[in-house]
Amino acid sequence: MANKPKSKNWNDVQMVIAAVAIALSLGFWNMFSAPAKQDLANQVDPVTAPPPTETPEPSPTPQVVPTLLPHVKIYLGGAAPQVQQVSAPAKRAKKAKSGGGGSSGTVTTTKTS
Amino acid sequence: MLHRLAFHAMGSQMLAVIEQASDPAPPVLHEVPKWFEQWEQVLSRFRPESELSRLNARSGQPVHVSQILWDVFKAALVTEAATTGLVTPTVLDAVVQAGYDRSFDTLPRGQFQPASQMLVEVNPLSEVTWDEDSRTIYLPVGVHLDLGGVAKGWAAHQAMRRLKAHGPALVDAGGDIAISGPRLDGEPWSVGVAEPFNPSEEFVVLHLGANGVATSGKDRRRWTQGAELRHHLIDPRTGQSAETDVLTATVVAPTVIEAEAAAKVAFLLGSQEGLAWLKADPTLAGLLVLDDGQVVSSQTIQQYLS
Repeated sequence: MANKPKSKNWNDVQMVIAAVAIALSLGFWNMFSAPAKQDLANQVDPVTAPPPTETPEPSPTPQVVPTLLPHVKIYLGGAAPQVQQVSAPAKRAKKAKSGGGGSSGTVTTTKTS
Repeated sequence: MLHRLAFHAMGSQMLAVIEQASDPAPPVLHEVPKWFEQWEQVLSRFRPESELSRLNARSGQPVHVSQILWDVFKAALVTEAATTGLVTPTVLDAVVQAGYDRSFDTLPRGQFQPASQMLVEVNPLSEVTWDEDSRTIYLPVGVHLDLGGVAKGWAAHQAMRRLKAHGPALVDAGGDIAISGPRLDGEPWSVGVAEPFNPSEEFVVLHLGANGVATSGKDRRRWTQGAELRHHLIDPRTGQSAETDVLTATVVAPTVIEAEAAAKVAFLLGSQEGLAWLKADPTLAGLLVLDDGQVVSSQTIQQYLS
């Protein structure tokens, strides 16, 4: 007399069902989790993206304002020979008036003629 | 004792000084203004009746000139040669073109009538011919002379030479100064250098013996022509007021004629080249005030500072 199919077959069916269930679970998991990741990315992008940049304006050239520097020791650069700064007297002398002596004791003054 | 006489001549304030051991002042001192008047009558380009004006009016024909005009003309020849043409009396037409056509004495500063902007070519003095024996000068047509700078230095030198027979002498012709030698006590004369930014003060004192000293600059005798600032120092290379970084140039030289010419050259060439030019002649000492207030000098100026 032939034996009834063994419960082993049922076990096989269970294994198949379990495998299909796992596969479906993983499939659904991936299906639903991807949009979530994309949503997350969409939410994060504005935060992590670098701030909008503008073309930088060239920095303005510093304005050099001529400064009056009388009596400051400055040597000319370059190849000028024997250039030296004259030491100004500690106290400026008052200009002598023509026909009379100045307080500095000078007899007269040379100036642009 | 210093005897001084101040007077006005040649569009400038003059000062004659002579040193003697006692009073009164020697009579020769009072002759000095008469000498200057005589020289100005010959050498002024602002006086239509002067001998120089008559010479300029007769360009294109030979003109016999006086000994005074001849001497100054010869001094101008020497000066032009020594300055390689930078200081020449043939700049007259360029000076007039720039607007300087009358004495500064006759008008308030800056009221010159604008002349045209046309450039004037400056002819070299070599185009002028002359004859030593007959004391004749021939100006080519279109060439006219301005002996102003040379004439003032020459006059100061002549007056100093005449005075020094009576004692140590100094003659200041509007800033061009001739000195005969040390004072009676053997000490040098103290001469101030006016500060161009504040002309009422001196910023350096020079101690001078048998020297001449002069200052050239654009701090005085300047005016506007349209939007352009003009001054009386014409660069013969361009025919226009010189563009330079030098505000004033003061030079000490063996004579005031040389000092006046050298100061003009240092001004025209600018600080770098001007100082190099001064260095080539050890008898010259220069002190330059630049537009930005810097003061630079040749090494040789040191001997006159202390």
